[in-house]
Amino acid sequence: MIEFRNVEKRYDDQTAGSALTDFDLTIGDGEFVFIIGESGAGKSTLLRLLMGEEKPTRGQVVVDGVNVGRIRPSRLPYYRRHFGMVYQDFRLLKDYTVYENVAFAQRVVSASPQGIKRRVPRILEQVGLADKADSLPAQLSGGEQQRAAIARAVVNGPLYLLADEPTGNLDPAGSEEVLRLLEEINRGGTTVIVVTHDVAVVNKARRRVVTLRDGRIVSDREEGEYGDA
Amino acid sequence: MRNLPYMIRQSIRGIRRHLGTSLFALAIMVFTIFLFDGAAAILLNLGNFVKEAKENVGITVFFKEGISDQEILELRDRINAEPQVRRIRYTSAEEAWENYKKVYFAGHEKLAEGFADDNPLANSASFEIFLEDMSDQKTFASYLEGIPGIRKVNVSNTVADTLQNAASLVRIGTLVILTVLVIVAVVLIANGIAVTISQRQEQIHIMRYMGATNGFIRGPFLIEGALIGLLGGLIPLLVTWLAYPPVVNGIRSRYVNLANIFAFLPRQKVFAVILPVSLVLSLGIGLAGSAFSMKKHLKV
Ligand SMILES: Nc1ncnc2c1ncn2[C@@H]1O[C@H](COP(=O)(O)OP(=O)(O)O)[C@@H](O)[C@H]1O
Ligand SMILES: [Mg+2]
Repeated sequence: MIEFRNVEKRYDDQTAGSALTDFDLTIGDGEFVFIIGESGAGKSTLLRLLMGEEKPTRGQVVVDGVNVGRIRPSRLPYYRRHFGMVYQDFRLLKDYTVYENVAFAQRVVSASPQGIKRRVPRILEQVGLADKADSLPAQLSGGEQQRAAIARAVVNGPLYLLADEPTGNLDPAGSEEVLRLLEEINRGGTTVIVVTHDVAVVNKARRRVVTLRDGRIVSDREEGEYGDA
Repeated sequence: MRNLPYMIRQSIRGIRRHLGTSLFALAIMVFTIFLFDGAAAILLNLGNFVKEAKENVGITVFFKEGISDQEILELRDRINAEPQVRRIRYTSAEEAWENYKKVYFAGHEKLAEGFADDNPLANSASFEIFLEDMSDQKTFASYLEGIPGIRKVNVSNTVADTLQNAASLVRIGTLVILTVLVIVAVVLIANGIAVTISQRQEQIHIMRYMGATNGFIRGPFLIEGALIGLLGGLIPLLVTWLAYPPVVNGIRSRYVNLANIFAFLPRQKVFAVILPVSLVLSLGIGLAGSAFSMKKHLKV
């Protein structure tokens, strides 16, 4: 479970206002949540606090009972292994094949070579990229690259999957594909949090939608739509 | 440890991505360590020469005028009884004159005969005293000066002193140049690694979010420095290993006199010192370069 308890985040060099203010948000295990809001609303800050990259100025971010701001730097890597991360620009390693990109995530957590050989093909099968295992990212379509990135994000079996504008660079077909995949992963029990601008995706999914504006939550609806606030 | 092969592959990728910087750093490393190896080989041999020179030169003692042979014998027994003394050798005035003739009238022995009944070195009988420990020479000399019947004590050891001065000159010169070169090498390696780090900035960020530990992120950069360092140490060691015997033989045949007096150290003996020291030095330079670079460019 993820809890933001009365969080305020103000960056050191931030001149006016705060990135997040009076921020209270609870996301239960297994949920699928969209976080929407205009540029500068505080969405990326929310993800950074969650990953322990930034600390709240006030209040607490608590994940499964752990106060994220209090995690020792040496323990932070192990905390982060509960999360999978997907980005708008995919961020695959350019000189690695699809297989190597996914295997890399396993290597980072010191998985055994046998474990890697077992899990990577299975996950590539699941995202429909079994036949592209030996391709370089540049040889794939945007949608395929994002599916490879999702495979990489979930190969270590995270409890939470965070996606920052995952469909921002994709055409409608690719977006739909990615959304379907995220929902499938969510059905497997993984909590999925999607930061997005994508009206079509949000309205089609009929999931919980949390809308931010100027660092505050202005609306939080089950089966919400874009622009509810 | 499971990730070591990965880390080595990563570091080789890093080296190849900025091959120019890597090769330049390697060249400076090779030069630095080669200089160190050469200077160390010279210094070890000079040290050995000094030791030999000291052992082969003793304290020379001359007697008061009119001293009797009996008194000289008594003096010899007295000095020989001292525990510091290893060996004492008596040279009579006649022997001294014979030696002198051999050296200065070589081929003109007739000329020397004019002195036949009147030894010009009548007062040149002497003891040559060799001590167990050469460092006692000065104190022992002043002890000898206090003994009645002794006119003059010589401890001058010009060969050993000259060699020692030469050795300290080589040592200081090498130290100054080496210090500069080591700094240059560290900076160059650090620069190369800074390039790798900047090229991998995004990858590092992704790895952090994946939960990579600091060790996992730093490993490839440390290995990159270590590889350049070790390679930069092994190449000059190999060259020195191959070059040592011909160089020593060359010096021996050119300076025959020198070779008769001094023994050069065998290659194994020199390498017992310079092999471990060079490797530690070169590995240290490589790791220091990585460490500096990471401290500056890789925020934790
Ligand atoms: N590193 C930072 N330093 C200072 N201000 C920042 C920093 N990151 C974000 N901000 C500010 O915080 C606010 C929220 O930013 P962000 O969380 O990136 O919003 P979003 O992702 O919704 O576009 C903005 O006003 C932004 O200018
Ligand atoms: Mg953002």
